[in-house]
Amino acid sequence: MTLNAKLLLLLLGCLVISGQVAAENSTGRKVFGQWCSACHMDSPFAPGTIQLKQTHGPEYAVIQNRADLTDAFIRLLVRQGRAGMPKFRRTEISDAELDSLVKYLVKSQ
Amino acid sequence: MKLPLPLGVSERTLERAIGEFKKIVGEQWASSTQVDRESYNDAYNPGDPLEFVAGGFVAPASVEEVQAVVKIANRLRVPYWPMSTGKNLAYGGAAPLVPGTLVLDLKRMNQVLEVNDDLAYALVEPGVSFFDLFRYLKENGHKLWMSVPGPGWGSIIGNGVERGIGYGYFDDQFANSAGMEIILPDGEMLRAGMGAMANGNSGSLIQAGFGPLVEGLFTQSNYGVVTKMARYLYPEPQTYMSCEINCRSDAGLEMLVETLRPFKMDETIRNPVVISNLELIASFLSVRSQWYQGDGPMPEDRLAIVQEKLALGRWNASFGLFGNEEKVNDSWARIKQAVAVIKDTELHERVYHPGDEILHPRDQSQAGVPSLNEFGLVNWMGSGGHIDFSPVGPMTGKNARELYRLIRRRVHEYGFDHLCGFYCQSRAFRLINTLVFRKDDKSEMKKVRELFSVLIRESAALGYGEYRTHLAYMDSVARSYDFNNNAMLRFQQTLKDAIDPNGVVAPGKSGIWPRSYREQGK
Ligand SMILES: Cc1cc2nc3c(=O)[nH]c(=O)nc-3n(C[C@H](O)[C@H](O)[C@H](O)COP(=O)(O)OP(=O)(O)OC[C@H]3O[C@@H](n4cnc5c(N)ncnc54)[C@H](O)[C@@H]3O)c2cc1C
Ligand code: HEC
Repeated sequence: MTLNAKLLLLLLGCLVISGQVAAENSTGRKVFGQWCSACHMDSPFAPGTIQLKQTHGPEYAVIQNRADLTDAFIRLLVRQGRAGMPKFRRTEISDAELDSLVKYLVKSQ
Repeated sequence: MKLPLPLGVSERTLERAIGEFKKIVGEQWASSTQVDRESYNDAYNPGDPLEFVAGGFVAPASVEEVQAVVKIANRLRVPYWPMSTGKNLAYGGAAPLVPGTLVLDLKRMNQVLEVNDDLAYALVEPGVSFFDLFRYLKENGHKLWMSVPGPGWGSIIGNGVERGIGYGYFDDQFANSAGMEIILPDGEMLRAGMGAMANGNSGSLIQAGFGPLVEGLFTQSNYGVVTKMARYLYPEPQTYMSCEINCRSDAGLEMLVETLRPFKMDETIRNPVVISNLELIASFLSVRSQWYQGDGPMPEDRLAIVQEKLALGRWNASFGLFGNEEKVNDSWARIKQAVAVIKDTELHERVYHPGDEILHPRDQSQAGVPSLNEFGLVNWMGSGGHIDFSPVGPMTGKNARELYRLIRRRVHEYGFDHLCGFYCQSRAFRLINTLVFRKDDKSEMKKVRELFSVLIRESAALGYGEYRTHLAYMDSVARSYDFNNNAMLRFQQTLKDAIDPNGVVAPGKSGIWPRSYREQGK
């Protein structure tokens, strides 16, 4: 195989992988938009944002902007809920959708 | 921990049912693992989260699968609790009343089956939420508005069969629906109203066809599973005005009710007039600790500060006016003139035309834009417990004051803030009292439970009954409908025995128990 062909394959591979990441991110964003943003968007009326601002401080209020959220923590919150945030069932957010959501929200990998 | 089981059901039978369900719905959509069982707990239950724990779940994806599942359950006599989106929060969430009952989760049936622009309705499956239908209408360019309740993630069918209320033009969810399709406990399919004709063409348009009206029997009941329903929509108006009347003094309640009633009666105001007290609106926008850190209800001087800072009234009436510019302006002019006699009021109006962006939360909900803004109230005390006490009364100032005074006094006596709103339809109001407590404080939850029983009893003594209630109080509320030795409940039990002789659908819902439970003293 020539170098060029190898490069081409590599490049194609990257494209495929980045395509997958993009798709995952867009599924993650969609799941977030469907199930989380009504409470967590950057708005003075969003209950999750209001509460986190009060309990954690303004810099932690909008979860989409945070870099400190971990994979395990998000999964725990989504499947177990906490205080005013009810848990989500598998018929609402499937395990695969949760994977995408976590990838979308975790920024510090 | 040992799994609690419904009367007459063994663990083996339950497992057998789950095994048979899996063959119908697929391996992952029926289960009795602890994680899955507990995912149906009531997130805001005033007590042990496991008090109403499910025995497992089954989630069919089609009407045929529902039929197959209920036939199996009927044969094995395994009870199930149907739910559409399971967001019945404040009244029990997705949880069944009898621990160990399986949840029949219809969330996967989430198709919008038809939207008709000319006749302005949508025919939907149970899993379609207000968010889902809103997105569908937008994406497909339908200029039709829904009537949404506070929780946008609830469903057209779940909210409809609970006889819930939305903020929009066609407010009452059940009254503005038709085309119900029902699966009876033996698996038989029934279509109500005009849908009862095999080739009927008006099923989605009006309730009732020929003979007794049966749609209502499948609301707040345990006679079958609703698999389709049509909901009337409102053609986008030329002009929409969102109106607010904030009355700074508590004494204004009677006048607000009296002054606005005629406009409800002649349908100048078509959507519900919602008259919320200060504490309720403050709980959407802030948390209690911002204002007050002490125990017991917030004192008067703090309430005055909240009122000033949030620029609210002690009473805040809101409603919408819809139609052409002339009609809307004329209506508002007449209403303004009438309310001018109420002391200490401030009026606000915001006007929208097609294409305008609607940002204010109340304006959104009256225009059918779903949200979850009202969930702010569950954070009021810091840790998210919430149950609603929802009696109905005549829309007169005298009745509003009488009931409000009774409830407020008791709520304060028990040490809670009193958050409430009158949802006024033409002749009657539903006074929704939102009791918010800390889920991590057992003694506080015990107090809420006691308070709730007192409220049912004392309101009933004055002739006020609840339109809907939490799982824990279904028996007490059913008993409070006591005319002629509870003739109504006895009739409902007679129907139960005839329609569901094996007692498999939602035992205990609305105080209606299968014969086997009644024989054990229920
Ligand atoms: C902050 C807050 C604000 C709220 N505001 C409002 C409001 O403005 N108006 C209002 O009406 N409610 C309100 N609620 C109460 C409740 O959340 C909504 O009524 C919600 O729509 C009910 O949940 P759901 O639609 O998911 O119904 P589900 O939970 O799916 O169903 C409710 C019940 O109806 C029965 N049922 C459901 N589907 C079927 C079926 N297919 N066949 C047979 N039986 C069925 C079952 O008994 C079930 O438990 C509020 C609650 C909260 C917490
Ligand atoms: C009904 C409103 C609501 C919805 C919907 C909701 N949340 Fe929350 N969320 C909250 C509230 C309220 C809190 C704060 C809980 C507390 O007080 O402990 C919270 C907290 C969190 C936290 C914890 C942040 C921290 O630093 O402690 C995470 C993470 C989170 N939510 C993620 C999500 C995700 C992901 C979704 C969507 C799948 C979601 N939430 C949907 C209301 C909501």
